[in-house]
Amino acid sequence: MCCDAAEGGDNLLQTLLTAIVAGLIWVYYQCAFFMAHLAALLDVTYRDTNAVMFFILWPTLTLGLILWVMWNQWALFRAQPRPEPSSNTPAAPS
Amino acid sequence: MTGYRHLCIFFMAITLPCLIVCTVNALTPVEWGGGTARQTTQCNRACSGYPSGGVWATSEALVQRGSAKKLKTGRCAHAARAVLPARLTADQGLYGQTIRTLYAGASGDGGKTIYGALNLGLFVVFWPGFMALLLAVGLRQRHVLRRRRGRR
Repeated sequence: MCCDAAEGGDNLLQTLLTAIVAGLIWVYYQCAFFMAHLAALLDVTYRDTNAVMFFILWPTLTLGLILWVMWNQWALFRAQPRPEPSSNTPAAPS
Repeated sequence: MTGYRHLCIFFMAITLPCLIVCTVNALTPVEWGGGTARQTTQCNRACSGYPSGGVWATSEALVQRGSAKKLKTGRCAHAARAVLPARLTADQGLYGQTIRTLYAGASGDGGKTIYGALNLGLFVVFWPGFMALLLAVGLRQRHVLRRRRGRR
């Protein structure tokens, strides 16, 4: 009885793990099919579409995003509210 | 209102590429790219190394045996068209070097599994995840910036 339950748990874990791996592989191959289909549509090869995507488009987009985030950070630093300089000086006697 | 707008931009940036991928995959005629039998002139699914046993059988083999070598259909054997320079697409160029780097550190069945795991990890999980994170951080920064400027 105990062993059956343990085996059942193992099977469930294995099925769950298989499902997760299958999901990841499915996403991967949908992307790979996209590259192959795009190659067929554009009359180039899978190798060409891969090279354009992974050596030109994707790195450029990633670099652009990094630069955008850095620019935003700079803009945030400049827009930071600063304390009034006159607040520390004592008020002049009237 | 701007927070809602930024949320919409993030949602669109995530779903739009998925929509494009699904549309191209669904609309491509089977004889153009849908089959898994090798074609001499044009690339199709066989070039992507699609497992002939299907996704579930491959996952079961990977989880149970740690290898799915025999289920693979292979990889693209077509020569690149003269669209890009050879130093990018040739076997001795960046393309070949990248594949060799992904294979590096292991040999035999283990090499293929590590190559597959690296492919999955890098191109499905980490790189897209990193970009989504950058986009979320950037949109959040724009949101804060707008709020600060509006307060002045």
